[in-house]
Amino acid sequence: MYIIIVGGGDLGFSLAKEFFANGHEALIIEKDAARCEEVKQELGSISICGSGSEIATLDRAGIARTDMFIAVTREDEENLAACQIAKQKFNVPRVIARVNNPRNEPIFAKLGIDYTVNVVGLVMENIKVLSGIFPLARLFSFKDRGTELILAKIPDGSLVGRPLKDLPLPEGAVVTLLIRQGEESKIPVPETVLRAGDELLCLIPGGSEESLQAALGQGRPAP
Amino acid sequence: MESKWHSKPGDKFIRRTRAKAHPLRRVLGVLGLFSAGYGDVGSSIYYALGLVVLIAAGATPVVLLIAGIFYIFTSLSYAEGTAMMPEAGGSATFARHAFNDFWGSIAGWALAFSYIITMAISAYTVPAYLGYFWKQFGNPVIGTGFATGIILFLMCLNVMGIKRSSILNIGFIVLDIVTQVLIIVLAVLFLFNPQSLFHNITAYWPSTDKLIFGIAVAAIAYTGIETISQLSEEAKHPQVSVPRAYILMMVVVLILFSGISVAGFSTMTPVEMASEWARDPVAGIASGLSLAIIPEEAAARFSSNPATVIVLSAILGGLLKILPILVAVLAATILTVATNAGLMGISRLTFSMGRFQLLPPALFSVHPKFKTPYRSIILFGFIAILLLIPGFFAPDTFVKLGGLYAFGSLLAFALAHASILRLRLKHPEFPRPFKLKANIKFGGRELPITAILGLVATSGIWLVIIVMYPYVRWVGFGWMSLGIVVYCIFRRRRRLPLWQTSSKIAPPLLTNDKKLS
Amino acid sequence: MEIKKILVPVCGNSVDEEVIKLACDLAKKSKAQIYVVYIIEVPRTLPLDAQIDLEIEKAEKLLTQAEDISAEQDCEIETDLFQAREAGPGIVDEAVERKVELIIMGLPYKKRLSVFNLGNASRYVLRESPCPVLLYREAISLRGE
Repeated sequence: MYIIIVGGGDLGFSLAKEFFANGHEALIIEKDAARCEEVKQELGSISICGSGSEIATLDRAGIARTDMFIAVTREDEENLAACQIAKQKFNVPRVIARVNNPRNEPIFAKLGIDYTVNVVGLVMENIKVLSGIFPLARLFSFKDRGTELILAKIPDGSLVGRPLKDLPLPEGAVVTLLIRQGEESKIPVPETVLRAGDELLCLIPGGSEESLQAALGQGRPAP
Repeated sequence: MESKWHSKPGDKFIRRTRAKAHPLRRVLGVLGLFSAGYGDVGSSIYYALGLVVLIAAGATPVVLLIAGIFYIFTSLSYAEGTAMMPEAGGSATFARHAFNDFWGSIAGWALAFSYIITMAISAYTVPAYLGYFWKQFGNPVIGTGFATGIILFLMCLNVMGIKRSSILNIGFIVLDIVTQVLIIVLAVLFLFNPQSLFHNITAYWPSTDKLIFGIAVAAIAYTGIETISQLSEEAKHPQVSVPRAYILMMVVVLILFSGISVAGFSTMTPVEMASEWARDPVAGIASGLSLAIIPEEAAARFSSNPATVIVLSAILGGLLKILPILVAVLAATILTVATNAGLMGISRLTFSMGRFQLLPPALFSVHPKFKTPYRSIILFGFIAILLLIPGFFAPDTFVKLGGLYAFGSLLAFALAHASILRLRLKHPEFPRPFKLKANIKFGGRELPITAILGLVATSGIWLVIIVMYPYVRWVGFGWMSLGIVVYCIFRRRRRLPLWQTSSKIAPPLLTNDKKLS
Repeated sequence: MEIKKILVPVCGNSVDEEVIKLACDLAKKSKAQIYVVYIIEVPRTLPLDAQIDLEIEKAEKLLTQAEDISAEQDCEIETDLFQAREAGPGIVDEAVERKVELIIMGLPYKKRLSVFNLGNASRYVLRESPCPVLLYREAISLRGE
């Protein structure tokens, strides 16, 4: 596959490296000449100096035959402009944008760029999981399928000692894995008895995170 | 060299193999071309003389002369053609450019036929000359068996890719020319008698149809034309060196062959040659010389000084003693070399035909380890052996093989002449580094007389022998039909037109990251 | 320093003939082997293994010319044809793989916007090549440009 990456920073660099390691061809478009050179030194002649939102540069980069366009600069305006051109003018099959400011995410969606990665949100959810004090953390959003992968923690409360089927899951949710401290993770059945501290890996329809939160919150943690 | 430079993951390269699969470098000068060509033609006199005598009896010198003239015409046409298009492939290349791929394939297939027969005859003649040492080789079964063995041995050598050493080749050629000159000189000096020569010719003059057949078969003496053309891709300044090599070869060959035939008829009658020495005529001449020339007498003719006479007769005596042995060994070696050259020639021919999409590529696929076109070597080697098999049973195999050779070569040469003429008509503006001078004007174009005469002669004789000799007709046309069928099937499969010239050679692609093969 | 292998990249401009002759002269002295490579730079609008007939034809013609020139000089060369995104890395990679002791590059005297520039390839090779590099800039044409 041929992938164009706008932005030669650490993220773009690592991405390109990964693509090459997997046998694909990638190209980095980077504004800063010095950084462009650095990329060339490390990875070979795979970078073009220029702006990813300039049509002439994109043309030269062979956007007409590209399978994937990924904009990962630190500027949302840049990413948005580049992705728009890629999607609307060149009909690139898959366009992925990095969104730095969470508030801009809906704008991307509005303008038709459906694959976005909200970096702030991403880091936040990861910290939520690591901190262990949040009942819910969103691990991943499958935007094209409209589902989300959630890690839910069973708090001390009314849910403890009850079977899984008693948990009022939102419509269409699937509990895929039960992770328990000190034991092997297993696929739970409706009869599985819940314990405090159990973590459930759930696949829920997009937007039903709040109702899952509510379902879990029936038991409040002990003060 | 220490390399601190490392290959970067993003830098990928694709190596393309070049259109010329084997890098033919231009290293041959006029002498190199000549020796390759002479190596081919120099061997044929060892059987051709006997073969022609079998058919044309007394008229042999005349027949060889006439065939020699046609040889000149053909060489000239080839000189113009090869100088214009220095690609390997000879007549097949000319026909391809002048007409279309179909005719190129016909020419190529006819040429292949002549190569195979040359191989068979050369191999067949080796035991005849070795018969000097072991009489059993005269026996048809043993002789044919030995010839088959030679072909098999050479097939193995060629598949394994033993390089021919050109120094050895040149050594043999020099020795060969020297020996022939020696024979001619001895015969002319001591035995030449114009009256008996004239008697030999007239008393044993053959019937007209045999005369014509003799001229056709005499073409077998004059090989080597294709060889030089095949090597033109490796020649330095082919536009100049190729014509010169042709002219040099023509001169040398004509002098030697007419000399040898005169020598032949000075030492024995045609009947003798046809009966006893048909398969190894030159050995016959050598033996005849050593019998007929008495050293002391001969030396006395040149000098009255007794001391000189003794020295001269000693030298002569020594020469005459070793002459038969020399001829036997030389003939056997040169004929083996010629068989080998035939094998190599045919693999080169099929290679170039394959390159221009006249033959299916399966035929010339290269052996992964030995890097030789092993399939065509084995295939054509076996066909040559197949043609030899009648030799186990029928004693006139020799003549039959000669007739088949004539079929193939006359057809190929006729096409060559026709192509030169056609190109003069169709593309008079093409650069012709060597352009034939004697032309007649026709429709605003210049047509070389030699090509016209050559075309008339070769096609005329070809028609005569097809009509008169059924064996040649059936086997010859059988082979050509096979070729046409193979060509049609192959072209249809590739969706290539049957009648046009596809000159595009798509350079094959060697994908994946660079590896030095 | 013993030079046993020389790499000569060519790209179809006026200076190639002189460079090959120069390489032949050098090679004759030390009986070195010469590798002449033509690198087709494939633009990113095409996949790397695209068959660009025009370029291939040009390359074949040039490499055959190179063989003829070297034959006249009585020296043997090996030719190769590559496709790469950029000529520079291709040249250096080939030099490393073949373990050559010298690269001879030709530079035509061309002015872009009245400024003379080393091309990208020359600059890359000069910077990155582990082995010595000989740069041959052709004479300034008196015809004036």
